[in-house]
Amino acid sequence: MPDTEMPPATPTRESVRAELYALIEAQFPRVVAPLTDDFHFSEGGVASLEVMMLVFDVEETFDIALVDEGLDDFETLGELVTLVHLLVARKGGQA
Amino acid sequence: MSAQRRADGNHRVVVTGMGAIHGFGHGVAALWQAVAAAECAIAPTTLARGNQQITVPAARIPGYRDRDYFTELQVALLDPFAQYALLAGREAVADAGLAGDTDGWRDAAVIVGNGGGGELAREDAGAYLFTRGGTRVHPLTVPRTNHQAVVSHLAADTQAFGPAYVISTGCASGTHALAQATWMIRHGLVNRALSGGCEANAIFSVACAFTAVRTVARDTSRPFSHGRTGFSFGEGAGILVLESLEAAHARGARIHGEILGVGMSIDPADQVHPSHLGPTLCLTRALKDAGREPGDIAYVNGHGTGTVLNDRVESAAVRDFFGPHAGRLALSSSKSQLGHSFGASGALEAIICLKALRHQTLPPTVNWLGPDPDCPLDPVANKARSASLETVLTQSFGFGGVNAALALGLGG
Repeated sequence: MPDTEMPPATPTRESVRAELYALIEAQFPRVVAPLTDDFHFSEGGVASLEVMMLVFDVEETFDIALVDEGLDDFETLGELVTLVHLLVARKGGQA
Repeated sequence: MSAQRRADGNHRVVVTGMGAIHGFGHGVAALWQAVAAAECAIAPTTLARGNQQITVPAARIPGYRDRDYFTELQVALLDPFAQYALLAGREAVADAGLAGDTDGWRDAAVIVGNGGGGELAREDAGAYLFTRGGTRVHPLTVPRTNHQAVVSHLAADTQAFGPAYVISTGCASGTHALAQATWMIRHGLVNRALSGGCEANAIFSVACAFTAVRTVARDTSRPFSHGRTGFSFGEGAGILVLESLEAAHARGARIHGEILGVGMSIDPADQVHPSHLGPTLCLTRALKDAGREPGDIAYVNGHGTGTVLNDRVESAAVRDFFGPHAGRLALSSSKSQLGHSFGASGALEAIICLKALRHQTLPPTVNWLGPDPDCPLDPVANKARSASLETVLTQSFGFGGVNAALALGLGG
């Protein structure tokens, strides 16, 4: 048995997607499921202030800084998954 | 039929709708019922932030749950001070028979008094920032803390496009706002206004601040009484629909009463200690504006915070202003029942005065233990009673020496 701890696994794109989907379903219960990466926030009836709140919660959940990195410009859920995964992976030293 | 205009040719201003949320619950009916029954909404209340807490006397809105009235996004956007104003505003608009009348509201003014703005949102942001470090706060912190959020949301509710702003003169805010709206209608700038005051002050940091300035009661509010030790916190909103008498008559509106006169003054002396001259000038101007004489007044709804100093100075000012007639008038404090709701208090007390006129009943000062030589006027101790009321006064004093008074009558 190795006597050193294994480094925490960097979340995969799939695990980031699953966590984001759960966050959005909790925050916007009126958004009709099932969610897909094609979900378009403004066309889906999510107000701009709600998107700001979502970004804040995403940053809290993943301990990342979308706004500071200038990466809070997205229109679809798939784009948000990509941005979050990018920052999470970078934080884990793999990007 | 009474004259449609004032003696000076300007418009008469009447109240055609009233709404309130307060320590007794939601609604003007619940407010007056509890006031007339000499109930008290104040109780020891523990306010917490994290693992810190303070216990103060306060009258919070019983059973209030924001999600019973607002969507998740609205709750995120609305600090409680604005939520309370919206609920009182909706009641007032419905009471006036003007719900959904977007054409009728288009040119109306929205003038609301508020002392602290979004105190809870400000405390939330401060706690988050200073416990976590960094520079991030919730993105809705600004719209939640802004004082003017309240008029924005009230305007959105009614589709009012007229002049809209907030008046912030601390504990006199609600009275100043009603005075401002009265002037605007009186002089023909608008013929309708939504006006009043709101406050959500029963919050940990606010309670600490007012405890530090040694104004909070040790047990409860006992205005004008022997053994009084300070004020109790209160929260809520009072919103009124004001119209020119001509506009009200034109649509056959029910009239609750009339704002006959407005008085204001400032004490350019001390930031926290009231003086004698300012309130006296305020009363003088309100009565002159109403075209009434001191002998016409049987009742003054006082500022009556229950602090040793306020009640002493207020009693002296009223006594000196009214002279020998002071022995025949009553000076009571609704803050003994509702706590001190800062920017909301003047509007809630104006509503109480209009109900007092309607029911020919003097509102009481509850928790009154016995006479204090510094407060020699009749406090309507512990029980409401019948009286013949034609014109009444209500007055509010804010820190910084800002004073405002309204003379109210049945009107119509």
